Amino acid sequence: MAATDSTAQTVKELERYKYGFETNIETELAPKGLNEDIIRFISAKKEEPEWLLEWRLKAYRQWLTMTEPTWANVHYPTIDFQDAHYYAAPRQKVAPKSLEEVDPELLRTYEKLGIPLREQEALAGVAVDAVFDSVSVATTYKKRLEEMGVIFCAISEAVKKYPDLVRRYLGSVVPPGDNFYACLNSAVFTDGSFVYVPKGLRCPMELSTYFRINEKNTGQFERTLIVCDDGAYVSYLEGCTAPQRDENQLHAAVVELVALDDAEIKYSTVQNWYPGDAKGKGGIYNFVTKRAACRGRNSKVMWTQVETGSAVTWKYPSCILQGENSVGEFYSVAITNNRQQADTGTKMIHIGKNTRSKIISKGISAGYSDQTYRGLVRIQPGADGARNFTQCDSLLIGDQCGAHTVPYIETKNPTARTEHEATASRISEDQLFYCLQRGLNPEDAVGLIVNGFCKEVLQTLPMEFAVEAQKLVAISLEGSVG
Amino acid sequence: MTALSLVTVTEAAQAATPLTDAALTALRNEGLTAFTAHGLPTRTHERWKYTRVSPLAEVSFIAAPATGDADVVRTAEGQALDVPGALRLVLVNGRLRTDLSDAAALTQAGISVQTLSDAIAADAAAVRSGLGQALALADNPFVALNTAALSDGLVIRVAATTQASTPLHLLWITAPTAGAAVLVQPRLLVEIGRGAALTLIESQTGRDGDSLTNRVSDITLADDARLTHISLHNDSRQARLLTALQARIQRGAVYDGFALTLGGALVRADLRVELLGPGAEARLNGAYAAGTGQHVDTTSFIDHAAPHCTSAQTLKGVLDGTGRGVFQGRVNVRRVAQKTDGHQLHKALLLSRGAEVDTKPELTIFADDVKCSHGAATGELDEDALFYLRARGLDADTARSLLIEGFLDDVVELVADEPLRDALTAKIHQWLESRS
Repeated sequence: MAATDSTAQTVKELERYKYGFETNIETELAPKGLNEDIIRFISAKKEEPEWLLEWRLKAYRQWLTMTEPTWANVHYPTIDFQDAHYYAAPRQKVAPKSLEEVDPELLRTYEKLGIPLREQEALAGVAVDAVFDSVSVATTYKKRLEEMGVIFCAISEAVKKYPDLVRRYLGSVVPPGDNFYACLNSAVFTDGSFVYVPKGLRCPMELSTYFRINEKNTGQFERTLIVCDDGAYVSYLEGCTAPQRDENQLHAAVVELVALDDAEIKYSTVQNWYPGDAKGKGGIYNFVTKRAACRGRNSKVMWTQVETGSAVTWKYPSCILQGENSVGEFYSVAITNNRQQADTGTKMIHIGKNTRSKIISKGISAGYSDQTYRGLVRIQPGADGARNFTQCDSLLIGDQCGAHTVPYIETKNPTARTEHEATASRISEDQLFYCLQRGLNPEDAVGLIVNGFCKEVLQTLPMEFAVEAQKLVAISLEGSVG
Repeated sequence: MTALSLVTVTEAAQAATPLTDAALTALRNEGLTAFTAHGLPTRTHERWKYTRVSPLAEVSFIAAPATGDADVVRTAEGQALDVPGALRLVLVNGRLRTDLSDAAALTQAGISVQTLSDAIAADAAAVRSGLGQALALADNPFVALNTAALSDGLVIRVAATTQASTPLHLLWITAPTAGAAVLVQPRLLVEIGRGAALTLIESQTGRDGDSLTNRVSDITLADDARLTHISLHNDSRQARLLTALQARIQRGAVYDGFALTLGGALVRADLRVELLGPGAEARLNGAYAAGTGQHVDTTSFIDHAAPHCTSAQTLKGVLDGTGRGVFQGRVNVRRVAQKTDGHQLHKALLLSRGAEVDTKPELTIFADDVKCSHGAATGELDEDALFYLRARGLDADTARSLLIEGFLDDVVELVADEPLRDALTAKIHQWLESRS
């Protein structure tokens, strides 16, 4: 009886999304709609050079010729791309030079989210490039990083300060015409992070960006570019929460990673955007293109993602394994509850000799949600000695949800070896019984078992994230059992 | 006879063999409409992503002529499975040749064997129901095309509780003629009554020459029925073979299938199996080998539509030269299908540069109390194993052959019946010898 009561209580609490508040800051909005003038407006606002405007316009013209992809196993009402603001900036007269100058309202928002920016400086050496809607508000630890030669700034700033680097790598991994949403992003992206780690440097701290979608009716189009030069290493964290609202919001980000010889990039994401209410109303549409190019010999890229939020997710962080002996890894936990839909997975394209990839995907479906793992492993004819190992496990909680696995494995080289395994099952009665017998309530038991199920992925996260992620896993499933 | 497109040949076949039954005539027209509307599938169709059939639009076809030639059997025998004691039925270009068949095959107690046209003449409605309600013409354009041409083929019905002691062996022979590609579109209906059992063997063979065989089988297993179904695709190196199998399996019934593919330029097997009653079981195992110029595609859809059903599929392939293998397997577990047990495995061995294998095992699950898994692996021969054999004095070719044999034998072991297993192994050995 007590267990049922606590479940009912939790459900009630969950109905109010914990982070569902709005920050009341005056925002500067571009008019609704999308056309060449809006793109010129964005470019002018960002004080961009001519080449970037041309690049955006070219992407926009190409976007007009493209059609929305429909192959993913997700269903949502048609998006009216003209019915959104493509630019929103917190109104500030002068760019802030330090945290003291930042609007205290903004800082309080982050505090509610559990990212007290002021504390960040003191905490665990994490530098935060916080993106509030479209403009970077504050960058901490910038100086220290600068001294070491690490560039970590907003991409709009990088365009001005390091035009050569940006021009050289922007769109080199995800070309503007790659897909519908990446193309849209290329035309209208407003901000994001730029990271460059110079030769031989091991970036001493985790770099982190927290994204927030704040202004109503603004699609957010982040653009992140990370370049790791020869022998360099960087670990990058990305985390998200979003305020509650009824209108669906589109988020179409592009993330590009470039790893040169012996470089290593670790990219971790905890995505906890508003998933919509229990009836499937509202929530974020998360249509993201993330891709890494392992260009150099012995380069390595590791994607880790914990996806618990968003109403609709469409996301396939990929690796192009071009350099000899390069390594791509993908670790994913995706949790869908209520009416959430997720179609996510990865692509590993083996081009170079002795390239290796590993895919560990854990999907948990509950409520009325639907989840699909969609992955591609392609071994090109030149990829002698390539290796792939893939494991996809799905856990179903409740009899109204769905879990699907759609892997594509294409091998064109006889010396390559690929292995794929997938399972689907529900929480074992025995495990549950064992936990209950030891006095755990059903929800804690499920949380424990699911965390065990995801352990392989969660333990690849940096410490700060791992703790948060474990809580998130349990919170996301509350109300789904009992 | 002038050479024509697929549609024109099919239309001509319709005109040449009018059906008296209105429902079947309507069904034929439905098939033609569906095919014309859909056209040949392109690679943008997910189910045809890895197999290109658009070149068929460039091929000139003629309707397969009836032949009285008795020689056709001789070459076919070498290609077919050799199962001593099985009762043989020979079908040349889709038409039953009683003169070449075992008379006893047609007169077994409890087992009725009729040509499709005889069966339609006797009871059109029964044939209509055997063609299956699940038939989604728009889903598979070649099933639609076959339906449009409905006239040649065979109907096998096993009465309830009949335990057929002798296996039935269907020897399909495609006999091309010079000039244009022959189009053969037979239909096979198999109905196994309640508690009955049958072993059905099929050997698809053919003489050299351009051909397209588009064969569709509708199989119905009533409660507790059992069908052991062994098929061999060993057509000539120019042959194109498209087969579709639609099986409906009721409560407690077992469909035990095994398909071996060795010959043919293009071989595509579409398997659609529906598990409709609790305790129904399907096994869809198989092996294939493809060398230069060969493309072998197995695309399956196993639909768990009832609780407590089991499905298992193990497929192994060997790719040599520029051979290409495709496996797309989907296991669907519906909301009601609790306690489902579904397993799928595909393994491919690549022997040379230029060979390619594309795999897409797929799980779509809507019930929670299930045990489902799939696995896929590709790789080359194990260097250590080769070294071990070479160290024992075997030459490289023998060592390789031995390892390939071991790889394929493994899956043939899943066939329970020993004579059948031996017949399959013999064919694999024959193929191995031909390649070295």
